[in-house]
Amino acid sequence: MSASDVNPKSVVRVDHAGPAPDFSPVYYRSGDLGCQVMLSIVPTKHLLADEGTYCLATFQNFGVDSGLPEVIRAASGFDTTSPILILANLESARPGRRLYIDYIRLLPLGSASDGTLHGVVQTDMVSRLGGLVVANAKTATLTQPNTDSANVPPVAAYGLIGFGNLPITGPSQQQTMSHFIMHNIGSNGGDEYVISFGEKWGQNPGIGSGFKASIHNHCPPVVVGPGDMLLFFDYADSGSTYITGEIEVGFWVR
Amino acid sequence: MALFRDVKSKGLVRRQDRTPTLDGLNRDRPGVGRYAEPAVLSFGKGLHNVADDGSYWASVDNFNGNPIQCHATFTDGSWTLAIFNNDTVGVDARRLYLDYVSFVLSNTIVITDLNFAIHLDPDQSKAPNGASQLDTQCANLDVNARQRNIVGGIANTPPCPAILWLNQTAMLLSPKSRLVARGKMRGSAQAATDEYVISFGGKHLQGGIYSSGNPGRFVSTVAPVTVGPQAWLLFSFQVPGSAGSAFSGEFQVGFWVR
Repeated sequence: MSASDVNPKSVVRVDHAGPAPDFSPVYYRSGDLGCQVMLSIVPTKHLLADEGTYCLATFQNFGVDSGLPEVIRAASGFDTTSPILILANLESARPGRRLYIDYIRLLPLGSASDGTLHGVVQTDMVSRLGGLVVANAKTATLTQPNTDSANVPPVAAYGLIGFGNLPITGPSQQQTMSHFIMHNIGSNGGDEYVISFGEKWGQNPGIGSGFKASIHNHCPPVVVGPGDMLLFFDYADSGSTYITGEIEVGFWVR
Repeated sequence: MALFRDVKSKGLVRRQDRTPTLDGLNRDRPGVGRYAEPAVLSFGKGLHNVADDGSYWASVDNFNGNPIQCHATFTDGSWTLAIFNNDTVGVDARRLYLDYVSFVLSNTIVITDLNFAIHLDPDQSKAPNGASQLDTQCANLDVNARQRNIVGGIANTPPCPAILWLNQTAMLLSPKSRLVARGKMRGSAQAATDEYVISFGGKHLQGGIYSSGNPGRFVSTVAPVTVGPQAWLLFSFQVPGSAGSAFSGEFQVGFWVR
């Protein structure tokens, strides 16, 4: 194959659609210098930003407690109908793309000293949005960390992201992918909680009461297919309040 | 191969086929990448690719807070957690690649030195007690439920070959068994909501000085461990000065299968 057959540059998401599941002909992706295979030159995820498939959901009014969602559900016990984050892939099964979750970051503004703060990640292959109170779902801004790409998601209807107090219908075919301890003493306003997906675990030195900290947690790699949902829950061992704050979600679409 | 034009399944291989392997899985169809690259490449350092092709599984003990069997010293035949690769030995057999084992403690016990050991044993004749079996969850419902059933895909989802049990007894090590990991989770008194994590195949981490009774997460990195067909991984806690069901808590295990 000659170099002239090679489609230059890696902006596949901008110039060409990805391959379709019905095997219809498509352009293949090649490297920046005409390589036949797109290799990453770094061990990080910059290649995903380069091709325009990495997305962020952020709250642009950071630091202002107005319009921010509930990020800590400091209520007693786990409730399968009260996630604080829903990421639903609304694409059709064919030709649908998948969402690859990179991380979730929580920045609570208030404190909830209601015992141990837990985090739970579940997936479900049946939509449970029937009971969703839309007014409760705060809207994040979707953006791309690549100024060469348009500042919009690759496809407008790829998914739904809801934050806050989100009562939904009960579990259908859910799976619990991970349950972890976010903070052993409740939450502190000014804490940061990060849940990384598909990475190696990190230590968590027991944070004493009253200290603010950035606490990293771990979840297996999770892929959300067309029609599937990711649900994130947090809850305390005791208490009955919600704490507002910021949420940031990083994921890519392929 | 004339590269791309001769590749029949124009990408999406990770959604439909595994990369051709020595195990004989779809060796008649070349593996290509998401954009029809003639190789399936990983992006970044994470494990999303094994989730993408439906190979990653998690087992979560769903908040049960089960009593956990532990002993003052290592006791052959008594295992806190036992994992069996139920694939039949042969060309289609898959292996289990351990990612992590995590345990969240739900009670407080004032003892010191929480140690662990991990053995591998190819003796498939062991007889587990099936009462304490854990579920396994695929990290990609799309592969598990749909893509493998579309035209050109694999007809049926290969079930997870791993079977996990808690608190097994009377399962003595065979002469072919081997110790593959030994470590310490905590040197001071345990606290409720401690998390103990064994991470396989990663970089070793510096621990800290954790005060007695102050809960935290304790990560111990061990060698990369692979469990072949009809073989066992046997995990045990040792707690000097204590025995029996001193611990209660919840196990989680992450692993991939190929």
